[in-house]
Amino acid sequence: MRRLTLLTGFLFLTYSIFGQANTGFQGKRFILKTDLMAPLVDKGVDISTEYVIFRTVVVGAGFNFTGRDYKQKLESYKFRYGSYPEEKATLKDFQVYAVAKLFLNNAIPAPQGSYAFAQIHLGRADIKGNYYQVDNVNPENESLLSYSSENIRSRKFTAGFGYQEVLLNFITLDFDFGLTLGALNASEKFTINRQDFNFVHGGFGDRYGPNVYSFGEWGLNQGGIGLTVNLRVGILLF
Amino acid sequence: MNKKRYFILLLLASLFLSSCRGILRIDQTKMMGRKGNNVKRIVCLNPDYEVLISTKDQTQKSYQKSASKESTFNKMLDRNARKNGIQLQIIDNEDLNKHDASFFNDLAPLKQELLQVSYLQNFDNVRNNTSKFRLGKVIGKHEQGPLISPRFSYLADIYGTPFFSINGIATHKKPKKGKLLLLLTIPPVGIASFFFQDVDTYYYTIIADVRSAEIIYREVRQVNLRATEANLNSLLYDSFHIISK
Amino acid sequence: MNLLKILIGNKIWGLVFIVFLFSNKWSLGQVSVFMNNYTPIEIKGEIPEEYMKGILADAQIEIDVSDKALLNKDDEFITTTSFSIKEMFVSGNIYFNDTLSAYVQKVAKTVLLPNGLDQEIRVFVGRQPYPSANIWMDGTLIINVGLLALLENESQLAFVIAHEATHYVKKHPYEQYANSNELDAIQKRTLENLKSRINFSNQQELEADRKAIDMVRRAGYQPKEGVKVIDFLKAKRNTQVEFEEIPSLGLPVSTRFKCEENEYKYFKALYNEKIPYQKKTENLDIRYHNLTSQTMALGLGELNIFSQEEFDYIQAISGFEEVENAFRDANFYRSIYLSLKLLKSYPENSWLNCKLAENLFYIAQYSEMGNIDRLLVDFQKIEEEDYAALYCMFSKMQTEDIWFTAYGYIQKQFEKFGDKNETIGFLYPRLREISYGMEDAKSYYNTYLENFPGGKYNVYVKRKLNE
Repeated sequence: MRRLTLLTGFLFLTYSIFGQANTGFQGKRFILKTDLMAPLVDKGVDISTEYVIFRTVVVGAGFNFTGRDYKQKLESYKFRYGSYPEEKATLKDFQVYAVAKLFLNNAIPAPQGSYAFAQIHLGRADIKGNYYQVDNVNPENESLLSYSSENIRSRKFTAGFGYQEVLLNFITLDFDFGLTLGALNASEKFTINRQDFNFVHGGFGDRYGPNVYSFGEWGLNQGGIGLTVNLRVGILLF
Repeated sequence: MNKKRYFILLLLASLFLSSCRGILRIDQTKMMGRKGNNVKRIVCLNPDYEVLISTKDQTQKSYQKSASKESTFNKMLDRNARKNGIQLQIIDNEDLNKHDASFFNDLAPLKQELLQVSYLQNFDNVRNNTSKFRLGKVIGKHEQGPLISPRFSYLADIYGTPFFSINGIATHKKPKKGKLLLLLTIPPVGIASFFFQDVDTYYYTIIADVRSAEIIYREVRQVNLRATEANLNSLLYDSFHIISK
Repeated sequence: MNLLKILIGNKIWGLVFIVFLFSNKWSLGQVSVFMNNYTPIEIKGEIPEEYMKGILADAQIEIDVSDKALLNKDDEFITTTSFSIKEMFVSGNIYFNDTLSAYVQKVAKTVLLPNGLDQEIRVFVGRQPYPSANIWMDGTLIINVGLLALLENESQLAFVIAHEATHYVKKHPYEQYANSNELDAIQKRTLENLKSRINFSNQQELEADRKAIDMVRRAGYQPKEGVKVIDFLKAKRNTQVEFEEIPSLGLPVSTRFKCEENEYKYFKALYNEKIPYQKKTENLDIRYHNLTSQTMALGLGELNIFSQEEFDYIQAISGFEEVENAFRDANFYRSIYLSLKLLKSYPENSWLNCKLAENLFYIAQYSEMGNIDRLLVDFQKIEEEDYAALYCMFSKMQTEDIWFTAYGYIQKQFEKFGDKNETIGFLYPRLREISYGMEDAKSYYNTYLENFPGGKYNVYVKRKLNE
């Protein structure tokens, strides 16, 4: 929360310094937004604000809560039972993020038109999932155990392109897509049966990060790389 | 990540990049905006709204569509000028009545003169100074603008301002290119492309100072966006914002 | 510019007919009232109701053609006509409440009334300095000053009006529009298609000529004069302003710039290549022979129902207006060319001399800017040898030569008319300012303010003096 406050404060400061010199949309430079993909894909909410600080530059900050379920690709379980377990892992994530957008069309000022953007998310995640305990000596002892891990550090970085349209002079419709790298911090330990682990169990780490399609993992099953798509609706306030 | 995935990303990126064409070119005199030369009131000579539609064979002006948009355009001009502290007096042909014969001695020839001079002279031809170019935006500041005839200087007394302008919008609808390629590579986008036209919207404004008999400001911008109310409002506000500074 | 495009028959406004393209035929009569001065027409009074119809563009067009295949273009045609007319009227390029309009409307009524068309056709005079007339399907007929300046008597004007009225009655503008669009849509640029377009247009012209003779006769005018109008079109272009005369106007080193015949022929050809020229001279021959045979056996009518003096007066005004309008169009070469021709009849006319000076000033200014090539904005084909020669000469001159020429001529006119003509009264101090600086020009500017206290340049001059 402290980060969010700092970011918002920074943005208000830049707004007061640069705001007057730039046009925005008919003088309006402050947009309050929500991402429609958050409830649809991530079972969460995403709220953000954006400011036009230069004629073609917009900066923004926001936060999101997600509570996404992941199919657990436990290979040893599949080996034993022929399919992955029905139970899903839940990852509850709270993140604050900062975004910078460079609008590419100079003939129409921000916040309208196409843009390139970079966005960084920082947060904390709680994970509840399963772990399949393998026992090669006594296979009957094998079992699907549950585990949880709280307050591990989560990060995402997205870069891509977007397009924003203003409707009815006060509503913004913002579509963007980009390449996302997700990271769940391995140095955060979590415990299963009083044993500490420092990587994400449950076979879903490769899908953490991108919201629509993961190309695969990067790092040791601590995060995925893939395609993120956002569809944000906003209101131009002032 | 295999090659196919990279290809999808590249294609998406190029789609977006291709959709962000835009050019803004502003030429103005250095005197503009200086003390005594603040543009606070402009007489706008019959704003034009042109809708051009191209088919594979020809380009035609749609008179009906053009005419239906003119009054809305006038209102938008007025509103966006006011928001930037500029008073715009729009002289619209539709409002002429039988007592306005002087229009044909004063303002109609002035409009013709401004269009002619814009065609015949460049800012660069007079005395060029600094031009900045950055990402499709050019702002040139010049010692002097294209010269119009000083015989219109008396209009400054009649209208209470030396600033007279021509403002216009032209939208050009063209058949979308590369539909088949899109259909083969990204079928959903390809199918969608059959329902949308490629549209370029142009906005231009020329402001003359009849007192000094020169064009002091000329702006042309081109965006590949539809001429929706929001898009036009954004363009017009930005334009008047630059003029009012 | 838009009007020019309309008048040269841009495909979009394909309904326009350019009937009388060009001739260098020039009658050099004199009207004593204009020996010393001329005042260009200023629009005054209330806008007439007929003119307001043009502005409001509520074109009332009824189309009843037998060819049903053309009918699907009705709406498009009416809309296009309606807005094109509006564009033309609000451009300020049509006269009203003036001598020219009143006279042409008077003659038009004489021609159209006996033919039952006086209520349907509205006649106006256009500012274009080209010999053309065009009619629209709502009955708007525009006759340009360029044509009025060319004609010699009322009968010739009556023939022009009758010819255009026939186009209207026979709905030729609509047919041409529909057919030309059809060709575009088909996009078959075959020789056959091109031929059919030219032939179709020529058939319309022949039909219009034939019917025009009957209309002119019915009105009591001399039908044989129609042949002369066609003759103007096919006449060979004669050089009327000899080159050697230009030095007498103050071009001091003219021999250096004198163009050889092959040189200006090259310029002429170079420029004409760029102009789509639809009319064929051989078609004019057919028209000429047809008209001659049709009028041979006809009896004489009145050459002028009103008076030749009145026509000469109108012709003279048209000549001066041509000069003024070419200048307004920034067509300085044509304005000079027309001035030189008029100066033969009115050598002491102060307005004419000063207008020539003003044209020279602007050519010099454009040369200084490096934009002199753009000045040839004449959309008509250059047919006159002397006009081509004039253009050729200025192309050969260096900027300083043009300034020198302009300076000499302006100074000469200032000495003669500086206190009488506002334009030269202003132009000379401006030239001194350019040549010697503001300090030198100040006293001349002050003289201008004293001589012309309510002058059009006052605001500009006062600002200059206060700078």
